[in-house]
Amino acid sequence: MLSNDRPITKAEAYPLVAASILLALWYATPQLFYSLYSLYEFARLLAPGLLKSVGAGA
Amino acid sequence: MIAGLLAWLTSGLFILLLSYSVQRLLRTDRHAVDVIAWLFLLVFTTTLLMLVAGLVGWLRPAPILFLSLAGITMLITIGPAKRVLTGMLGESKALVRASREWWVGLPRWLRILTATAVLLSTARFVFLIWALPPFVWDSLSYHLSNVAHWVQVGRIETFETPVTRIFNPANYEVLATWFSVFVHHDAVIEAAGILPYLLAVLAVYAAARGLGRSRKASLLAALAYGSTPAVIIVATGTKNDIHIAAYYLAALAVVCDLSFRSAGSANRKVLGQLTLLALVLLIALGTKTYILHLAPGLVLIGLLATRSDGRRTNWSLRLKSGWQEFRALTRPQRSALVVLLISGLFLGTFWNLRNWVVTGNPFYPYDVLVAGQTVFEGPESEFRLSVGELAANLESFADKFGDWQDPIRPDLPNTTGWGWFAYAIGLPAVAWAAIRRPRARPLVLGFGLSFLLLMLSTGPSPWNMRFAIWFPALFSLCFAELADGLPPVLPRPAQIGLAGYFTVLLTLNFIGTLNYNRVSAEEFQSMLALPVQERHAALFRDNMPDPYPLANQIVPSQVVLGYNVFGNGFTYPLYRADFAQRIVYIPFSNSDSCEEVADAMEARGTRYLLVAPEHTEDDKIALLRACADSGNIIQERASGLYVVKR
Repeated sequence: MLSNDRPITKAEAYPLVAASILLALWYATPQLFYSLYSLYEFARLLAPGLLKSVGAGA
Repeated sequence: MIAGLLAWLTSGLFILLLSYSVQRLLRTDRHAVDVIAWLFLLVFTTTLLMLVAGLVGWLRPAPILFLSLAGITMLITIGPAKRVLTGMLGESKALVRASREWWVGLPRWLRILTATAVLLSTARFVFLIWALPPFVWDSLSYHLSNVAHWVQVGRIETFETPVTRIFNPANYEVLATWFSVFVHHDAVIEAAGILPYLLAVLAVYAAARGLGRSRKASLLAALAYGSTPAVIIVATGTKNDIHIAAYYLAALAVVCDLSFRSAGSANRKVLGQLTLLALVLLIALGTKTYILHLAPGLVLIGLLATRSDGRRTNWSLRLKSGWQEFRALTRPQRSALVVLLISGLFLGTFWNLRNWVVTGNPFYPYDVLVAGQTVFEGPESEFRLSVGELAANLESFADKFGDWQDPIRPDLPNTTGWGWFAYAIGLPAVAWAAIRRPRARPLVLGFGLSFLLLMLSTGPSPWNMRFAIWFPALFSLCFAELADGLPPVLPRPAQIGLAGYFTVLLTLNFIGTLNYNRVSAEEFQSMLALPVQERHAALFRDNMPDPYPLANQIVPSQVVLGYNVFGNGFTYPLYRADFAQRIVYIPFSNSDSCEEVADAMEARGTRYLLVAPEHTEDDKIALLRACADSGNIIQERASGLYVVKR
């Protein structure tokens, strides 16, 4: 922060936090499933046979 | 193989020493800019060395080894370079000391996050490069076909193929050649994107520092950008978009430092930064022409930027200072700088000049229209500034915004690829910074202009957001403003909450990229079951039509394999991972007789012809099927693979 910059006030901070959480929730549909799918496939690779395929061809 | 590895190591050492020597010429009073200059010069000198070797027909391990040994000998014997290199050890120690001080000055949680991010990203990159062959469409169609052909013949040249985009500016392909020519294999060719990825991430850090942000906020910005799914995924996607992003952001870092920073202006060195800026933009021009569409945004940032004293940068004064610094150099230094700039011009203009000479159109294969008149003709549709394109692209962008339609994959189909951080923190940060921090407005306007010009000129398509993977850096830079704007003392729960939220978003970004959001465990296993040297692109079934793996298994690598695909079809998988298969284009039309097709094959020295659905016109496939059904001149050896029998 430069010397003439004013720190973020509470009046700015709360709307920013609220907007951020709402945007994260909005983005989560459906990206959360895609992110978890990637992790799931990776887990299937590490532990073959333990987890079922959920891909389109399954 | 051992000889190839030795040549590779020697070439690497030469590039390291040469880059270090050149980097001394470009030194500034800003460490972050010096680091990106050094990373950039590694890319620059590698590309230059390979282009020169390729043009003289020395694209083989032994001649490159000879060139490298000669270069190393010259560097350690000529006076100025020798003096630079003898100081290298002392400088390395100072660098380690400075890095340690930088590191311990960071908050503990940020050190843990950074170390974890570096470790996990490295592990991910190494695993994916090792496990999978190249598989992204355009790289299989033209980017890597250039590399395979050049490595096969030991020379950079054009060749007959229906895929006319092999004529595109190809500095990326030249760099990728360095990763495959020594071992005559594509096992690590994806690594050609790692250095540009690092350059892009560190350029965000340097740009944030140039904007006056703290080390902590700048590092947060760099980590956030480095976690962007589109950026991580594209880094090993064997295409040139990560390179353009790296060059755009490196240029941005220099522009920010030159135009926003006033501290230290009495001792600052401008010449190195101006030279770096010129070199970065030139190599970008020889990588992908659309840097011309992005550059006005950088100019706008430089013109609108205000320093902490509220004044705008006087660019004519900067240029004057640069000229004075140039005149103060010793004669050998001046000569070295001139050679460097000429090399940059060579890398920036070679491909277009070659196309002009070879085809009569510098922008071949594209048409060029000026004021509605065709100036240069080419087989591909033209690129032009058009409001119609802008409207269609913005409409398409609105659909992609939020990444609702598809997972984020290497070609970015129907997505922006910006990821969790950009949408959840980046968007509010940009809005806040634009309102509360006037110095951030030039950034917003500059990025916006680059983006708009891109949308004005690129053809509407589901995949065109890959041209804009530099854009999420805006979110990171505005977030750095926000992070520095936080009160110096926050309650502990708030500190933990914010650090945790940031970490969670970056983690979500990262986990979505573990398998390119596309490759199933079975597909991984099918590749891992093969020895590394046999992981051919043709055998990776993700997007590969049947004829490719069949040809790989049936056609001996010692014979010539004919093919007929259209302008966007795959040719690279036909070369095999070790580039052992000679291939030849067999032109024919659907009105030809079976005898004429067989004659065309034999005239080009092959008995084999590959065609594939979605890569070859259907009527040509139908003709070959009819030939196979009706006569005995051409037989279908396997699906899509035809053989002359007479």
